Amino acid sequence: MNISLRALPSFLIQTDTLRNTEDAVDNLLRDISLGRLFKAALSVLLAYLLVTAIQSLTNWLSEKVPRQFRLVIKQSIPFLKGLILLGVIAYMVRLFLNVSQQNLLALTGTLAVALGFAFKDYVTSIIAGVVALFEAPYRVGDRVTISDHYGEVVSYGLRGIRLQTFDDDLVTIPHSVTWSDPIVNSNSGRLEAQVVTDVYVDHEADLSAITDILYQAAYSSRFIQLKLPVKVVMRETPWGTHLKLRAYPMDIRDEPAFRTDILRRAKAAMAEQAIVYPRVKPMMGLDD
Amino acid sequence: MVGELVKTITSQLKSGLLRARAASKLSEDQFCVLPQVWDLAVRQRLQDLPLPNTYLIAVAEQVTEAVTTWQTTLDAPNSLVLLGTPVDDTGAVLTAALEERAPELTQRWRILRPLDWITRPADPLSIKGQLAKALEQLKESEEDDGEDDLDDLSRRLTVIVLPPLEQCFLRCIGGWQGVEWLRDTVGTQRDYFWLIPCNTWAWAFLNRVCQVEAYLNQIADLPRLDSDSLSDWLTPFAETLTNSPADEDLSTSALGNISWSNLAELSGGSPEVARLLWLRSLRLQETDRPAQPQPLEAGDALPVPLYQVQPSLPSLPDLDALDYYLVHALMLHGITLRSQLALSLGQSESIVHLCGQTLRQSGVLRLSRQGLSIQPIHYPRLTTELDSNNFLTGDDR
Repeated sequence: MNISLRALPSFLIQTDTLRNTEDAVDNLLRDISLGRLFKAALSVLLAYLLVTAIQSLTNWLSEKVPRQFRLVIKQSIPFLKGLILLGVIAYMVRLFLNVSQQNLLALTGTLAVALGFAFKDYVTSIIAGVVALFEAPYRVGDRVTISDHYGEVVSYGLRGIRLQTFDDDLVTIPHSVTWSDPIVNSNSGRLEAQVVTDVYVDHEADLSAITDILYQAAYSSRFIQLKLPVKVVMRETPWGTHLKLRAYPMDIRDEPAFRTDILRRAKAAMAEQAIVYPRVKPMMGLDD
Repeated sequence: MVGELVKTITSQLKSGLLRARAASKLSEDQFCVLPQVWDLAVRQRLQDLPLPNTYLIAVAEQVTEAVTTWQTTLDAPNSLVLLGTPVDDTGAVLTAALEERAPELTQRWRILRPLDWITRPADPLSIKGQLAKALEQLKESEEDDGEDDLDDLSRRLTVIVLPPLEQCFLRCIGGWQGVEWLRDTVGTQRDYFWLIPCNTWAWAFLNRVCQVEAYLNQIADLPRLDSDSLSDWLTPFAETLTNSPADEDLSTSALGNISWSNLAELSGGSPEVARLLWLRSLRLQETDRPAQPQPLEAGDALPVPLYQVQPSLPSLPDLDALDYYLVHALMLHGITLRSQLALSLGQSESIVHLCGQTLRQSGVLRLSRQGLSIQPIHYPRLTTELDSNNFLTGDDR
């Protein structure tokens, strides 16, 4: 070994540090025996089965109970899954590590460095998921819009959520979007959410008659929540009048059917009254 | 929401306990239900059983008080809305109550029924025209005794009894124009007193869509039958059903030995629900059941002793989304034709027919010449079920 005298103290310090680190790791880790590995595997398997069972059971139960209780049951899924996960992690830590105050500090530091580099995005999503559990920008059963995707939150996982869109697509979105992207929640844990139905008519159309028809179309729809208000608002555009009917279905899942039912009823009634629709194609976007 | 959950669980537990209690008193080996031929005969007699006098008198008193106030006070309301459940025929109750006091009332008032229908006309959009025409004919038929003087109390003699309000509209575009016309007309025709029977579900709906209560604000609920009233009403009827004394060993299940307060609670005080619950609790001893039961002649008692178990509500079958909408439509409209249900629900008639048929076979609905309606015995559970599924119910008025 060719070590110069000047470098000797530094080498000795490094060797000492390394020995200390090895000692610390020896202190931290327990002996890994076959029995412990078996217990760990068993606990992971049990946790997986339990999570799967809870997911299936709560999903099944939530579709069987009356509507009012559906969301309450669905919203309990992430908490139950979180509890199981926490229990398994605690058990595994206790199984393989000597958790003392000193070891805990060493472990936290090591984990922070490892996770900081290797699993940064994953950990960000997990932490965002835990925060989102309490801040509740979305919950299972909610109708949300995130980055151009609109649908019902059907699953709340460790890393992200799954949205089921009207086209029956399943979109996976990481929890980390809550840090940066706006999240539009239509119902925030409630069964009802406002549904807007757009109707366009010519400037010369009888707006009073149309408004009356729209109110009646909403009130006569079987999907409507009669306990909540119905409003018709209108706006002028260069090519015609844009009316918006704002109403709430009893169950947000019926949103497309509700809108279709209103339009079908309203258009049938308007056909009888010879309502005039805009005669020219809009030259600008609908929002203009 | 948690409150609702607790309420539902409590109700389920209570109902389970009641069933368990009923089962403990009933040994399957000892008792059986009535043979179908006898069950039908008793059911028919029970349907024909008039409502208790005290019940009708209570209704008549409410009407008399409202009409008398209108006759004696210039600004008193000139209408009374009588509200009942969708399974209690409020129109028939009102008629029976007025007949109960007929000699007294017809001397003081002129009672008119300008519209003779009791079920919705085939074209629901024509209701407004029919109402307007009826009022016009009524005015024409009256003798013209000079200038109209709205302050003349002596002119206040005419009481108009309308068909049940749930039969005066259909939930579709233009379907409640008749009710809106009525709402606006009643206040302007102060020489007439308007008696309007209605069910609570229809009233809650009409209140949301055309604010009827703001105009027709004098409202009375049908009385509720309590345990004593039920006992006084049904015990004499039970006595006509059997001549044979019950077996002393089985005296806990003897006819009439039921918890009347349970019956009152389960039926919600509704006579129609109570009738069927009481009938459902009748039993025969297994050994008394004849192999070939003979039809009963009118007024005949059953040839064997009758027993009774604690009344309990029947379970509902599994209902899907369209079933709920159909049941809710029938709660709102009362007895309704399939074609009108299809128009109201925005579904094809074939789908409504299929759904109605399924519900009828499972006993939730009943079919008559006038159309489909709710089977009264299922009313309490259906109400809870629809309420839990976020529907507007009669209790939301």
